[in-house]
Amino acid sequence: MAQESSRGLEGYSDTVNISPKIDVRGPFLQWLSPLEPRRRHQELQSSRIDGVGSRFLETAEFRKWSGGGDRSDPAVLFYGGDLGTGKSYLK
Amino acid sequence: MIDNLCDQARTDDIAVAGIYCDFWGQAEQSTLNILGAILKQLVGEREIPEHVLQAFQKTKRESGSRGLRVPDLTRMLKTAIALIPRVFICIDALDEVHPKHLSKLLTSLQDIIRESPNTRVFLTGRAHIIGEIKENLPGVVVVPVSSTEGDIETYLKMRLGQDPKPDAMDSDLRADILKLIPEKCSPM
Repeated sequence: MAQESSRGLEGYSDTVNISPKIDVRGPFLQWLSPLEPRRRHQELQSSRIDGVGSRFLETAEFRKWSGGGDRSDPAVLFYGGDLGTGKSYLK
Repeated sequence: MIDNLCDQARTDDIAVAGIYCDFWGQAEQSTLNILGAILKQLVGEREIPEHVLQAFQKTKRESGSRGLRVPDLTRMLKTAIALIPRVFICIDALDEVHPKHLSKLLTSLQDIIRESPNTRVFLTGRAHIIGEIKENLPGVVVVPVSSTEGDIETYLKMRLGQDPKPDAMDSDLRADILKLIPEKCSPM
């Protein structure tokens, strides 16, 4: 009896291997965090104007940070300023 | 910023994750949830490593609830980052994260950067948290928001361009608006 059922499963081995990935992905991502930053991003995107913050994007600091990926380049950039100075709207 | 980096990320070689913090969401914006949201975005459409999924199922089975801890998540982030050639993490308004979460979050970020030099972190916030950031992320480069005059002018020009009755305004008034408003908005 036990042999029969294990043989029976073999025939479905492909399905058995694939389905857990599909079932788990959604709950897994939800488990990681309930935050949905995409929503806020879309709000900002729709109210943003081209060219805002372009001065920052031309700084040597930003170029080095985003550019090469050299170990000697800074890994962390902090863009600091008062409320309402357009930090969230940089493009 | 996120879009700018995403424009560069035409290939699978680059992944970008971004989080916006704000005072109103402090209760939800814990270290755990912020790190989790970063991982969620980095994983994106990519295949989730089998052992990460197994860790998820095991933790869920054992605790019966979320049962996720910051060190576990930091480890999972490092694993995910190791599979991607370049990773950008952006966190906006870090000064609005609850103070009890901020140093833990910065410690985790430092841990990730130390082990994964392919990671780039972009942070924004008001200047009063610079001390805490420097303490936890010693290599940080600080760029102050120098001037917003150019941005305000860009915005005003856009709004003036949308004026439904442009003929009602003469060129002097237009020039005054473009000169005086940015001046008044600038820090003293």
